[in-house]
Amino acid sequence: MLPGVSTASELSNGLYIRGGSPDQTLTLVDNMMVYNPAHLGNFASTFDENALQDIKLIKGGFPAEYGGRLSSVLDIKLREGRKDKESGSIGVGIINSNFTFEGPLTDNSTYIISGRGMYYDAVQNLLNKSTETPRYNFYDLSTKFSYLLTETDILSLSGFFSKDHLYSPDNAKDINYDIGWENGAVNLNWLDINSESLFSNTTFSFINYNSKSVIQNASDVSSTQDYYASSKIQDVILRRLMESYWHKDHTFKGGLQVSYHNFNLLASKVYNYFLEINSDTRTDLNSLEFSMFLQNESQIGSRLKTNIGARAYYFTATKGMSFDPRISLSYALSEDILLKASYSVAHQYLHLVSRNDISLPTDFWFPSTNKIKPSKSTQYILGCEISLADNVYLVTLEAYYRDMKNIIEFKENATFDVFDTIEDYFTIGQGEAYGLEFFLNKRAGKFTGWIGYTLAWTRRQFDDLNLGQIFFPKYDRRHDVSVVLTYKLDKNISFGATWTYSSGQRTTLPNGQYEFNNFVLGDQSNIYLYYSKRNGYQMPAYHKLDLNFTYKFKMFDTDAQFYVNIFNVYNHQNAFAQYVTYDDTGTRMVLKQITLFPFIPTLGFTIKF
Amino acid sequence: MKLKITIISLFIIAILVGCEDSSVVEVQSTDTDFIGVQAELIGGEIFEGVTIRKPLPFTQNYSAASAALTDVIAYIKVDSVQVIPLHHASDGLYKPLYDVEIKIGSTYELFARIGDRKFYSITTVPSAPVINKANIQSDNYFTVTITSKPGIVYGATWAIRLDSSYAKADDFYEIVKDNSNTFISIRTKTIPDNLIPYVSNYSRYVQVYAFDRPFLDYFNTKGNNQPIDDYFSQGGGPVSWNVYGDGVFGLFIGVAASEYVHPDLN
Repeated sequence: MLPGVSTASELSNGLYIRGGSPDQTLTLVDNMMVYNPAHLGNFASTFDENALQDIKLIKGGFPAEYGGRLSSVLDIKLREGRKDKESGSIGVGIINSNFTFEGPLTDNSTYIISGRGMYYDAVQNLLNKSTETPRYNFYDLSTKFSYLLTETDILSLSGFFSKDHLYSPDNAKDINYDIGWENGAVNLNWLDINSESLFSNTTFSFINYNSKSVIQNASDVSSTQDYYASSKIQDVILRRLMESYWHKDHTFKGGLQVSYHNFNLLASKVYNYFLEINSDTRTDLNSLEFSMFLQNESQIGSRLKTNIGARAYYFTATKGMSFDPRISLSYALSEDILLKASYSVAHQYLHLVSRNDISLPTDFWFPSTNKIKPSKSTQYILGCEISLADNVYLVTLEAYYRDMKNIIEFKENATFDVFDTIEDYFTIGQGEAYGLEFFLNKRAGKFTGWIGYTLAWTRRQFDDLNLGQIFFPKYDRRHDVSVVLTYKLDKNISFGATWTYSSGQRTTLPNGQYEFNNFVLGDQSNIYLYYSKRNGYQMPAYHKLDLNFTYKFKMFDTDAQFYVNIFNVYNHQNAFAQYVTYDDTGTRMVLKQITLFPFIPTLGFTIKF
Repeated sequence: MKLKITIISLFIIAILVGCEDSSVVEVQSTDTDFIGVQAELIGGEIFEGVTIRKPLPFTQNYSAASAALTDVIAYIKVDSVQVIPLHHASDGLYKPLYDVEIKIGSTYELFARIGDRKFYSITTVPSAPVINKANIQSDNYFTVTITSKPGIVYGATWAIRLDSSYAKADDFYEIVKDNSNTFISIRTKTIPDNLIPYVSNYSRYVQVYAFDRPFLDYFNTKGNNQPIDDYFSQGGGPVSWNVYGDGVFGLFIGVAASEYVHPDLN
């Protein structure tokens, strides 16, 4: 809900930051690269907040220590378990539940394990089987074991696992779908404090990601919407980072990373079980990625801060090197006013490609190859931060511009024939994104919260799409407003309200119907729909109000919490999709709108021990 | 306790309401301020005219009379010399006042205006292709070989002579281009099963059409104009046209047909 962060639709599974697609955001959980940790529908946060120590979202102009993505960085640090005693919490709700256990293992080691599950599908199946709305569930598990080897050496083992499943109900009329994505990541981290001014951090990660999209016409007749995509990715990453506070005003960081990527892929216009198990029809791609970076953060005088660095890559599959310079500056005009600017170049070798003509998640990852060059972006950011009323209020204004080269989409007439080369499904194009963000944050007091507003544009141009003309991607949002308010009545009772508004989703709809004869092949005429351009139509604006109430109390001498959440309080019929179909008489076409998530109240109970 | 049970009961009722089936509502149609143009200029035949109509809202039952634009000022220019005015005949069809034979190798330009909106197209009528070889393939389609010419694209169609008429393929299997003077092979669509009983050495024919180059892009994108009737899908996008103007689409295309030829067995 922060300015510049949006979702494509209620069934999209990724964060769209400043006009970039979800793959353009680098997501790290304790230094583990996670391909797709997002959940659908805004019902739950992307990460389990009980397990988090720190969340850093860098929407653009990220420093050289981060790389491999064009747009932004979401850097999550899992917290360590408590050293003093065993503790935990268990929460049970109508559509989701969670647990956290943590504590010391030995005198110098701790653990934390935290998990969540959402079972909205079970509630639907139990209470209202006849509904045709998609069925959805997920679980995620975050865990961390820390071991203090010596005074200066800390070893930690982190793990992150998640599984999301979206599927059609038994009574689906038009289309059956079975879509899932799973993340598994394990990371061994060795932090070595070499001296007071020198740290080194070595990590070894194994990442496993699977996604599957099966979409089939419910009538057993094959259609152009039939689609099966499967991405199985395994990465092994070794990373060594050095951090030196070589001068009181300067911090130097440098690092090396070697990544081995294995992609096992299939995209097909039909689905059958044999495609799923037959390895002959799948494409196996391996590549090694070497990257290194150097950066220096400096405080120059009392007002100027700089972060200057660069990152270089070598990707074996493309046999090419790339170089990313990164510069960011901040200048304190006064104690309360900070001016910021940044310039950065980024390359991306791993790409997510989705079907534009299907409103369900159709994730398909593909690495750069000889034919598919790495994507490249150049970003410029200008901004200022103003603190007011003794830092109680923070006002942020930021303007950004980013151009993108070598970005990938499916061709409009991609064959999805398993015997064709997957690279032939793709077309290469370019894009740009620019906008202005406003953020007002009240950070202290009983009443806290923020107001965010984004005015943004993002455009794409592909020679093979939309007749080569510029078009807006689905997630182009001209206006985006979020208001998040929390009021603490006392130490036990708090109220929260969140109102979001965004310009409607872009989609491709016909502008009318016309008659064309069959040219030389006969006098017969047919009625066709006229589509003037790709994503040329904008659906009605999306807005909703969510409310929550939390009551903390003691139960059997333990802390307990009762909460009530109300999703879409005023039951606004937000358009998930608009589509052309025939009316009940079968003779007249109509434009219809479908709403997926109306007013949904939930409640739950958490006990902490 | 009673209060808690009441609250929980209210929530369960609210969830039942909240999980109601997806709502489907009719909303306003999208705009239709466009002009559609269609003309085929068949070499050696009389010009049939140009159809100029507006697309109708898809919520309306289609009728050619409702779609017709009747006050267009239009003419065609042949080889940059001869100007032939077009007059509205019926249902948006604009024709010359006298019969005009389409000349192979000539270039035809369409100039038209309605109000302040002008539109234009240009096409050259290709020469009729000559079939070098035509073969029957095992699964009931034909392939033909012709000598291609630069800037021209080709499609092949089968025809089956019935008692007193011909059944013809409803579309081309492919449109093939080749810019050099080389032999190219083109295949037809498969003959449907219901026509197989009528197929014999004497009743089966193959014919090749030559089109001006823009037909290839039209053919490759025309599938984008189909209706979509499930809410997880959306239309494919625009079709490639060769009539130019603000809010104008359509095809004004030169074409020539080969003679019918009996295909031989491989």
